[in-house]
Amino acid sequence: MRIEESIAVDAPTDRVWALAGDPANLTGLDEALAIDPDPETPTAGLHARYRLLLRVGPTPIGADVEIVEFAPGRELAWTSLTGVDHRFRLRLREVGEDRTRVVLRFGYSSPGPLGLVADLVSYGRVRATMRRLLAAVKAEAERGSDGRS
Amino acid sequence: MNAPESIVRALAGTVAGATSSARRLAGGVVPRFREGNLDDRDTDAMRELLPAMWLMASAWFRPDIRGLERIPRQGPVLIVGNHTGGTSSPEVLISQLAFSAYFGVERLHYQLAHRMVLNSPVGSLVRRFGTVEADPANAEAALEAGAMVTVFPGGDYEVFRPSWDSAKVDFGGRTGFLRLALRQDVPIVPMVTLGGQETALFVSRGEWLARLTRADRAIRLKTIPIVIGFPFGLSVGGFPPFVPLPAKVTIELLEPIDLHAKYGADPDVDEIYRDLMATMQATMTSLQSERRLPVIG
Repeated sequence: MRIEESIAVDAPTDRVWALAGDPANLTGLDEALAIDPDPETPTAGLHARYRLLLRVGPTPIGADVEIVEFAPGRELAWTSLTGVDHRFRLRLREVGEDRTRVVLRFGYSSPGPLGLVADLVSYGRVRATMRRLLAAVKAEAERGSDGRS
Repeated sequence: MNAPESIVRALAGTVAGATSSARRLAGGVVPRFREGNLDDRDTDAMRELLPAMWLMASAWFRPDIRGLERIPRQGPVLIVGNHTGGTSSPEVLISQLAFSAYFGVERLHYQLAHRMVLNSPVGSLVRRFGTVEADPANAEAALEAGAMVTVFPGGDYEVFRPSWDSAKVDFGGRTGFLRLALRQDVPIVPMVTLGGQETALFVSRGEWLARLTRADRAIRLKTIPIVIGFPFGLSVGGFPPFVPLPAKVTIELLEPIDLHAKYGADPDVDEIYRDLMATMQATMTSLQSERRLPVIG
């Protein structure tokens, strides 16, 4: 399965990056997602590792992930090392003065024909989580732009 | 040789031959008992089977699993659960799948089970998911390898308790798991399950039947349960097998207990046992109070 969602944020790119450039900061933006930094690689950047928990069904699904692409202010991507196989990408692009387009991609694939069924069943819930996450990033960044944070 | 003697010998030979044939036939049909092996755990197979099995288990039992974050993130730990649901024991499958989903299949996890489970039709499947025979040596080897180990000390005694005792934690006084945790100096995490006893109507453990047939001595079977289940109705000793009703299964994991830290260097096992039973029973009672209807939850 491959999910791609995007959203326009009325905030400068560096503000959005300050919010989303460290995956650990995404924790708390949506109740279905929690990301904790690995104590051995506490600083965000290439090869930093995190522990991800994503609630899809009756229990959170866990994975250890590692940042495999990291361009400050523009893009980050991680891939799973253990747990559920998946890839995640967050792309930030300036589309005007104090305006940023954020693109989120989340790909996952379970093995086997029944794995495909499981993926299809979970698709709606995962997609909804990613949409809520983007909406939360937008709300948080725009609140910061208004000087209300 | 006179005629009557030859007839008797011929008959004896026929009977011996028939018995031998029957034994050979039975040997081919009845699976031989095979002990569990830690190496039977197959991470690759788990990875492939997990999504589909989790989907099916979630759809059938609608599990509600609480407190996974209380399990220590690393290191050996002994998870101690009450046993439910007779031969289907939904909490065994559900907890195994939940741990695999939460921690990833890479984290070592073994479950101890009765030898009969490992030699049942699902034996090869549960072996791949890390189920080994309930033997102290297996548990020690797994803990020494740094694994999580799940035990159900109540075993066949608790798993076949009558349905009207569904919300009762009863290990039958078995304390071997505590001695194991103390010897290995590993924390225990209590796990309380409610709902399994609603997957059929469990009438009796049939301990008297096990004694009468000497199954308790021959194959370590202390119970021959009497169950009314779907679709065959009366089931004795697991035959015919029943299809578990889709009862809602609730599992709660409690805070880890460091036995030496809490009870000292030379603790009284009976005291720990009493405390543990009280703690688990309190959680069970709380879970039961949330339940509105049997099966539905």
